[in-house]
Amino acid sequence: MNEATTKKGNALLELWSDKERWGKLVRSLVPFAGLVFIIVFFQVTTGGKLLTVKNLQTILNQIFSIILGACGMVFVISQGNLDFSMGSVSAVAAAVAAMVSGAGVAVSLLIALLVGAAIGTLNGLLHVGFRAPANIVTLCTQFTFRGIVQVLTISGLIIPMSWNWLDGTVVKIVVTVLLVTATVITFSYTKFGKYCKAIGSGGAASIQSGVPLDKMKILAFLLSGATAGLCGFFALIRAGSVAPTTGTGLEMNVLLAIVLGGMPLSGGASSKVRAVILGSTMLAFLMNGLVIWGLNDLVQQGVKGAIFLIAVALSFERGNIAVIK
Amino acid sequence: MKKLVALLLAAAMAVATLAGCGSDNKSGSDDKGTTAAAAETKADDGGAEETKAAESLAGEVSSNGEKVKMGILIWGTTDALGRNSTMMVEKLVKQVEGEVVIDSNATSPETQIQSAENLIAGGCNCILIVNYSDTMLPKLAQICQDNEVYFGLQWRKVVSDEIAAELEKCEYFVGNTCEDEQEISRRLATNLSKGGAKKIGMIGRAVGDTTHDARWAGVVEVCESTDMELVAEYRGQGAASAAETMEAVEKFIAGNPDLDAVFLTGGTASQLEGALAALDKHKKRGEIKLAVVDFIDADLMKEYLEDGTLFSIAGGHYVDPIFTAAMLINAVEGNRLSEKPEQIDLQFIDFQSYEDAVNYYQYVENDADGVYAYTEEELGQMIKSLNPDLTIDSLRATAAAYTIEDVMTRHGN
Repeated sequence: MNEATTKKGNALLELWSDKERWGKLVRSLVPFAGLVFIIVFFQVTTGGKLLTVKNLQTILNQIFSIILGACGMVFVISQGNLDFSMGSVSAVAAAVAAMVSGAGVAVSLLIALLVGAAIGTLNGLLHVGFRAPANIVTLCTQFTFRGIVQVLTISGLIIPMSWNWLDGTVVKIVVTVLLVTATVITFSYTKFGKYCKAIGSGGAASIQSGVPLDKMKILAFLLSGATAGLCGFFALIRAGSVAPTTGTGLEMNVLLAIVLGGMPLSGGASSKVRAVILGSTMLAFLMNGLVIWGLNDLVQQGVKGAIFLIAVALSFERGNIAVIK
Repeated sequence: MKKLVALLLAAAMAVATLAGCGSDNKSGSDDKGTTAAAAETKADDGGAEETKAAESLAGEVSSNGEKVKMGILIWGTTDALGRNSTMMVEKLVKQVEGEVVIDSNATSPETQIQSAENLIAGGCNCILIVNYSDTMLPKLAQICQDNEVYFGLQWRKVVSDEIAAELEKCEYFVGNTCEDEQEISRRLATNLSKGGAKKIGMIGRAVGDTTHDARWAGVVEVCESTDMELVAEYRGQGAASAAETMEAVEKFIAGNPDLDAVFLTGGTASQLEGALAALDKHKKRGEIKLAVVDFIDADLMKEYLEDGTLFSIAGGHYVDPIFTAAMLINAVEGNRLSEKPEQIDLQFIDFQSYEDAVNYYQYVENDADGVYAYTEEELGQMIKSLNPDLTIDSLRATAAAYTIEDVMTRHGN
């Protein structure tokens, strides 16, 4: 046996015995395999209804509403934090956008983004200012902003029906492509993206490495809030109005999508922005497939919960055990 | 490795697409596109639709052969109202051997629209919805119009004239069934006022839910025209749970020592249970009167009715969806009862005494013995292909006649 073959053999043996590397490999492949499985499973069980043109348009609508929020939340999660106020923030942004709808689409959209960004910044300031865990801060602000929405929507807030064109497929594809591209560039090719991962890997170490911890955390929440504002704007377009329940459940769907996509809840170096696309797609196919398959509505909730648990268990980085940063 | 996975993904999706072949590339709504030829084919196979058509009286009215697949959008099916209402609709749909798909996952107007799209993609040819707000209806109408899917509202009335006018233009909107929410709460609140209540607390849902807004308005109206004063209020996001209601009532009591009445705009029976638990805990039974739109079990109600704690109670509206569902089924089968959207008014059943409660739970909503307001034969009479004499007016009259006495008379009690 020649030297090259021996070296190859030794390398394979090393790989085989390296459990950690196998674990990482499996974890990185599970989201892809999961997506394949979901599509194949529902395509077969629904008798081909899943991949029809009309249904794919329906799924696109669902992907759209999740992926917008996921593009912002990914920065927060990569730092090892969570933002439970996303749904409420989107509702406030939608309400304010509806109130200024008389000034036109552009102004309304801008206001929604600014309101979302402002609230996100507030979340960030509260988190770093009080040194309180982000999940607790945002749980509290979730109630505050939901209360604000109830007050704002007392009189009923609607938008002109001429804005319907914004709910079209082309608009959604364009917005999704632009936002995902911006997210990929920011997350993978900028200092900010790298800092986010560094913070997720270890706050103390990142400070000592010169990462401006507080500033980066506030910026992550700002982005999360801005994308929540964008979600709110398009929720307003979708329903034609804002209700006190607008945005309810958005943060859980976004969280579920990101985790399904393979992003560890603990954040850190193994955070991948592809989790945004993969997870949103997977969740949309799953939610759509469960309904058109005709599964009992109560069982659907249980299935979603079970999948979330499995996804968290598989993706969680046990080395980053301090989830609360 | 990643290239291998990508290859596997492409191959699997290709296989799945082939495996799912058998339906064309159009939407799920094309499931409804059966024709007379298809009906004949089904008859050759001993199809049920052809049999039902043949069995209809004098063969004058038959179904077009299209199988009914009804999607129901509702808050949930674990509470008595949600559970029994969907059960009755399922029984109705079963009369034409149709299918029901329930989606209770939507928590906001935009997710309800998404759910409707999912149901339509899943092949539903009619949608029965309890909408969170009026303003989402034009969007829903557009979706149903584009997909040629009928839709109707349960427990809801379109309050906005502008939106009602918009819906009139949609040929797939069959109409709605509703109760006079403001009237019932006005009646119950008036009973409270006549019973001597002066300081009242109210528990309801968040602003924007048209049903609860109307009930709320009814009580406020009575407060403005009598010496009854609204001193405390709580509005939850959705239907308040028992724990939430209990907590709210406790806060009312703590903040208002002279509170003598609580009005629950309803939503689920658990609200009433929570309120009663709070009164028991603070030993306020008999002192604080309860008015509520919704029922609980008769045995639980007995002592509260007898000691006057449960002063004024209305419910029984679990049959509401049946009437809209009937309009939908007839439309899908090609026997639409009216060319324009119709509203069917239903009245609440309100208990004047404990005997009313006993009779209600024995003859109108008896879960233990499976006895309900309408038998399967009576449900069949709401479908034109089974009852050619059915008209929109006769359906409306059936709804208008709904009382405990009506059910007892019909069922020979």
